[in-house]
Amino acid sequence: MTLGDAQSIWLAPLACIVSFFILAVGSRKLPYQGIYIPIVAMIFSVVLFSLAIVDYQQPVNISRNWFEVAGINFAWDLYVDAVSLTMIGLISVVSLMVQIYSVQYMKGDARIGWYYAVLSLFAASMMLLVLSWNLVLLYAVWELVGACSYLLIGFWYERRSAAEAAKKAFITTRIGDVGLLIGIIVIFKGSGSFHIGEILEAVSAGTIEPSMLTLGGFLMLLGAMGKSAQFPFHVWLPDAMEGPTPVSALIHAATMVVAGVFLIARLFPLFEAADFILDTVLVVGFLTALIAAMMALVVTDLKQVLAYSTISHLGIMMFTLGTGAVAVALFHLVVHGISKALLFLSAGSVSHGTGTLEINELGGLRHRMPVTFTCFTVGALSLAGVPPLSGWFSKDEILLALEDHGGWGLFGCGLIIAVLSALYMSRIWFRVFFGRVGSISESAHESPPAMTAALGVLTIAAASFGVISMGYFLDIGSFTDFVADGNGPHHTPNGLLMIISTLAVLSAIGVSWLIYVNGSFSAVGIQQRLIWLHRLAMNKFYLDAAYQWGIDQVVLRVSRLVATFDRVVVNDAGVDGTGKSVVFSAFTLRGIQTGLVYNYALGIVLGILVIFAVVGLSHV
Amino acid sequence: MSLFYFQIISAALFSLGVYGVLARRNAVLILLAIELMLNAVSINFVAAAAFLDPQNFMGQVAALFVIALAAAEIGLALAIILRLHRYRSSVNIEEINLLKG
Amino acid sequence: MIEIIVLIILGGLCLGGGLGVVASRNVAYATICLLIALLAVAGIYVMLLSEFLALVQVLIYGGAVTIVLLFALMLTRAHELEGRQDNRQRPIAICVSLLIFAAISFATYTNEQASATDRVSAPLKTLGTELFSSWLIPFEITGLILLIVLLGVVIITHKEKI
Repeated sequence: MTLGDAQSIWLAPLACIVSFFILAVGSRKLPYQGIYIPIVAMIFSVVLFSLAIVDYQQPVNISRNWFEVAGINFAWDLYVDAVSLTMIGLISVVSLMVQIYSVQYMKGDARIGWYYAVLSLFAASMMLLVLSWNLVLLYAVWELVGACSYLLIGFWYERRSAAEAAKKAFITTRIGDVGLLIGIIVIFKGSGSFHIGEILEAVSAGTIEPSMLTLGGFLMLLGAMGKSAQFPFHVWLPDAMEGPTPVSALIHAATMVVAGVFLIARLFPLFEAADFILDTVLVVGFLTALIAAMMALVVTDLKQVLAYSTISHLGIMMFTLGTGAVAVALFHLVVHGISKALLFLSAGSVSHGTGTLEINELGGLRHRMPVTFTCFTVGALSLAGVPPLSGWFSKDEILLALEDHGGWGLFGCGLIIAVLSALYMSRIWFRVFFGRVGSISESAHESPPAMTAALGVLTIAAASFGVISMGYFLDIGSFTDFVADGNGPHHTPNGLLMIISTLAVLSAIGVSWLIYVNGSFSAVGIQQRLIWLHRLAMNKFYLDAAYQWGIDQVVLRVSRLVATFDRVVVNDAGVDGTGKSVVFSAFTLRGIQTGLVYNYALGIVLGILVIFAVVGLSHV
Repeated sequence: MSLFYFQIISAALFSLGVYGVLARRNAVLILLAIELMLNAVSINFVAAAAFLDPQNFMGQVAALFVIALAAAEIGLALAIILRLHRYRSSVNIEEINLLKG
Repeated sequence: MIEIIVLIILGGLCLGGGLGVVASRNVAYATICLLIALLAVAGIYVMLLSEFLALVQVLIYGGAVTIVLLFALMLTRAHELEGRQDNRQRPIAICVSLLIFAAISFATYTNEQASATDRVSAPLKTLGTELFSSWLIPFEITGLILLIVLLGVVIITHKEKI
């Protein structure tokens, strides 16, 4: 194993963990709070990744034994294959861009050392998550990733809303994680091993009992739904925008939220073999995508729109998985990751330059912040699905897979989502950068070079990734083939499909232009006509209210009951009561000590009588 | 004329002594009752020795010791009672309850 | 035959004296009743063919103990304490003493050896030999105890601090 091998990719998370420890312990003593250390570690990871991907030929299994308990072996099992290498590429590149960006964005923050420390820890645990080939290791880093997300969302914990958002994120994903844990245990009971390779072999050999397989699969799906913000667990993601914008770009767009999608992709044979799971995934994904897209059309904070857009696209990835096209889902994962990170970082640039993210206050920004405008345009159009950006390729592949799986009906559903996606993307694009110059935009200024450099790299990636990955250039071979180790779905490109979808997207953008720039239709007028839908979407489909009601009625009532029990039974009766009864009995027994000798003599004689009785009766 | 008769007498005397110890008010009268008890026990010992122990007569020797020790004990007890009388001017045990808790 | 009558008389004297000790209102009467009881006990010893013991009994109890008790009664002005001589515990004491009597008699009644009818005389020589051979140590200790009691009495009743 030499450096630069595909096998040595595990040095990348190791470097990030080391940088976390150095920063967590000693960031105060280092110059610049030591933020260059994680950046170096990240550059090292990117270099390792590029060497590995050139060198990669076939999947590699790395295993180090750790300990054994009751016959079960726990080991550091890592598996380097095309999927994990791709994910590592995404993670390391986006992390590096985010870290370079944060040098300027978080400049002057007092705790920037800790910020970078947690960013490194997150990168390390995410990389371990995609590399892990053992369910226990997977669960451990899954939780670690959630913990890093909590720490970063609540980074500015002095703000009450940030602390609440972090708590909400952690608790909501925790509920899903319970499902994941139980699912892992059920699968372990069914297959006898925590090692994913052995489990997948058992699945294909059919040795796992079907009921256990289905139960375990559904429970693990709950975990994936929690992390990937599927309905009804999506409520944490919009609130998670309380964290710094680079954090949103990294964690809540490109990497952590895709962990659920990644999990299903990794264990796909298991989910495929269980009954009904893939159909559930399809339905849940579609529902999520639809609801989130509707909410994205009505909110007015830029980051909130991007958050809902993320939820919507995660739904898209899920329903792509539901059709069975794993490679296509992963392709969209990478495309969305790059584009969404680009969009978030541009939004951060807007907020850095103008101080606000409210759409109503912004407008006509394209003259004041040209670089940001270019980057945002590329990101937005890519996600909307405009050729020849990478988003167009992935959308196309998804629609092909949908049509393949379920005919024109399913294709129609996917088309609706694509149109909505284009609508809300172009809505914010037009509102923020075109039109009348808003009140704030007068004094806007462009961002410093570190931020624009990171934006630039991601722009180029978003623009070119699609074209490269189709295998048209450089004899690389198509991305989907690479990811599926040669077994990629080969959908014959359906020309009719392509034309219909592109036309739909372009007309959606056109309608949007008419509404927001030209003013031919009034947005308010449309809102009035669909007032009920608007109200539903503005109140987040009353989901938050429902959860709060549930917590108030159920959780708080039960906890009040338990608290009363604890106070009355355990404390007053049990602890205090024991003490008081001792004192009481002592006071009562004190009456025996009369101080009179003849009473004591009586006691002696009575004692003798008792002994007589005992001995005598035992002899009789 | 069996051992049983002597033991009955001893038992009766002993229980009279117990009654005296428990029910008398004057401390010296309690000592009298204690003397009764000791003598009852001695009767029992001597009777048992006479009927059941022809060689060694252990009971009689025990009775001898009992007498000696009873005398000693009376002396000591009366010393204490006199001391008590000196300081409390009364030997009424119903009034002596300093140990009351 | 005559032995039983003597035994009954002696037993009656003994128990009657005992009754007088515990039930009499006058302390002087109680002490005299004790003397009668103890002399009856000496008589019982004679019936049990242990004359030496009877002698010792009369000497010590009748001669020493009774006198000492009378002196104590006089010094503590017991005659000024007239009236009821029984304390508040009287009812319970009656029950308890009856119970004790029942228990002991039951214990002896169920004992087979209690029906022995032969009694043997105890020569004084045997007594002396026993005392100074098998019972030597208790003998010495008893002497020691008597010494200690003497010292103790002196210390307890001494007026000034020693």
